[in-house]
Amino acid sequence: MRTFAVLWRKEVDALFSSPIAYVLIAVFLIVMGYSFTLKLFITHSQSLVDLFFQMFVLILLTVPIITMRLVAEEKKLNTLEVLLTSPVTEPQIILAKFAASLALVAFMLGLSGVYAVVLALYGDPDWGPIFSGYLGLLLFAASLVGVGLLSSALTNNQIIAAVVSLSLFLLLWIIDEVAPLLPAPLDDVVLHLSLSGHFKPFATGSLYLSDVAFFLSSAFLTLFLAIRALSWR
Amino acid sequence: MFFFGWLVAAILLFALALLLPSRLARSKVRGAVLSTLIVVGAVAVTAAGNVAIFRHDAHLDLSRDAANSPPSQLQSVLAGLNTEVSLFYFYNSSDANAYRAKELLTAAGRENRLFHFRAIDVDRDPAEARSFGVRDYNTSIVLAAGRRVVVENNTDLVAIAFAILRALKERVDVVCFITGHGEAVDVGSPQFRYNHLENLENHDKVGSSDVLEGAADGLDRFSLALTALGYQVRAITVAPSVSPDCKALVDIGPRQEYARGEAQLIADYLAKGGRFLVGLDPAFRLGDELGTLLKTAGLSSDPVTVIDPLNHAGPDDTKVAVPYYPPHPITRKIALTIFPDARPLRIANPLPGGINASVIAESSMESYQRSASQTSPATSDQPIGRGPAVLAAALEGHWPDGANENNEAFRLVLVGNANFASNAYFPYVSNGDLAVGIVRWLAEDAARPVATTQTYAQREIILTQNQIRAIFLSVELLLPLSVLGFGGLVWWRRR
Repeated sequence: MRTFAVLWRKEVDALFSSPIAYVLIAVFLIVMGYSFTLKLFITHSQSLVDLFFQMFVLILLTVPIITMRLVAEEKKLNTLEVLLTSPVTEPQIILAKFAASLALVAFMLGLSGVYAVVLALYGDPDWGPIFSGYLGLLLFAASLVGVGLLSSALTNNQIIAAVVSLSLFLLLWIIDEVAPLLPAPLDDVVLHLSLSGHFKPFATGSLYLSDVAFFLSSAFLTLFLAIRALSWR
Repeated sequence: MFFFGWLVAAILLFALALLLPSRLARSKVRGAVLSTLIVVGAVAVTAAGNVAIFRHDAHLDLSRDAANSPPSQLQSVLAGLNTEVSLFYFYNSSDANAYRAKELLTAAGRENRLFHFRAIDVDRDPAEARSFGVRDYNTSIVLAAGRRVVVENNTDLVAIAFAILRALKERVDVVCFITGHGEAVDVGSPQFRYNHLENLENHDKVGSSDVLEGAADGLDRFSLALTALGYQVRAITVAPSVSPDCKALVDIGPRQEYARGEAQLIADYLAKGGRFLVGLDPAFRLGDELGTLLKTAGLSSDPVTVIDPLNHAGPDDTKVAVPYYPPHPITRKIALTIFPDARPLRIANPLPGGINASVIAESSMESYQRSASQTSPATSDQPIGRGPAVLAAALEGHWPDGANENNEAFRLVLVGNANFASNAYFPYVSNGDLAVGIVRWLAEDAARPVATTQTYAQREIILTQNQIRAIFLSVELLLPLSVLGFGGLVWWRRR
């Protein structure tokens, strides 16, 4: 556990010492802040539902940038060999990188919690959908970070890692649009792979075990595969 | 609990997977084969786990007004399913109400294995709509056990719940409302108007909140509720004979005595296993005919009014309120009921052989009675009798004087009040549920809808100009600039 904590700290330091993290967070907050104020001032709505869908898209676009360098850069700079010869295991390395990347996304989401605070200061928002929306975004981010980590573990090139994970995310985002064109039961399978389909209930305050399981199990699976990819190397 | 149980199981499985050795075999080929098998196995386990959870899904609605859950009527109907039901919903995805109905029905479909739901966007798939003979948006087709019920131009899930009940009904029971004694029965076409909520919403919720316009003492609401449940409602006269296809007779609020021979016709009907609901006001004189009929079953009632100083609706103590009930199939899931101007009932002790009686509702211990003709407040305080008065009773058994050829048991419900089921009081708390529940018990109907109310409100935040400026500056400028400033500081120190 101590080794994991040391590795996690190292990864967090690496992420937060990079200007990319701050630029990403600032851009995220500017875009979301604009949407939030616009919606609040025009519609007087006390809901963050629309904002959650925009955060969903922004996370989908930013996670590949966060995860692309995680393993691929270490491979390119040959620092992975050094790391593997030290008394650490592959699961510890992968889990530390995963936890650090997720911490960055969580930090970003945490700052956007200011919007909920504003709603609470001036109104009486429904906290259920706000809580489930953030939970959904966190679980969604966990599964994306897992996929991004796996693609980074499979290649030495950061750009390829980013392009592969981004392409996969975009495909899984809009895959439910293709479902009606497919014959049964393929349409159902494709529908169940849709990222937006699994996220939508969270944003409106509906918590389905199947949606939680989808995001968590895909995070677990991709982490496991990333560990096997690192071991196979 | 199910959530956390699943979470612990998933984490344990993941932890076990991490215990697999990094090097699986000395031979590279064997290692590759084993690795491939492990990867395939992990993907298969994940997929199987997801499919299993999807089939046994659990749902938690965190919204304040349970806005993400289907209405209680639909939930109740689906929970009581014991046969497969298919619902095809033809909607327009740009209609927000239709889209919401589709989403809630999808959610309901996920939670019930016997409920098969399919939404068809009419604009995207017109051929599919045509194959079902559907031309209008928001049409629902319910299929159950070879029966088909169509609900047109409706996004109201309560209406769809009742459509499912109609489709589930194996037979169409006829409920016959007796007329000819001054009863306010009109089972023709009821008149509706839009309520103010629909005006606000540009009438886009078709039929969901129409308001019925009818006489206060009429029975239109009662009759419509029965029709929605799949009963056929008919107005009849007792003479010359009671139609044998009447599953139940209903006589609410007669104002004139029964004509000679009518009671015998009803007695003959009951002797053959008939069902009868009678609701009587205090001002009504039973007369020889109805009085004798009820007496044969062990029932009687004086023309007095029940006053309940403890449980009553509003300031009027003649509007007797009943909050608790003895256990009976009729009163299952019934909340408060109101009986305006009720008369007390008496149940003979002992009852005629072969008849069992149950009290359905009674007034409180502090209630008393006064003559129905006493209208002056000065005389109204003089009680005739004190103590709880029976307001409704249910009887079943074999009709005492009848030649019961088929050995079928009759059922009779006598309510010492006619107003409880009238248009004016039918919507009061559980009055409607009680009236419908009595008919369902009489007709031995196992379907079980529950009535609830829905809120149509949107909470808003109204801000002053200063507040708008402060929020914009802090959220749009201060927050992102602080992050950039902090990042710059970190970069400067590292440099």
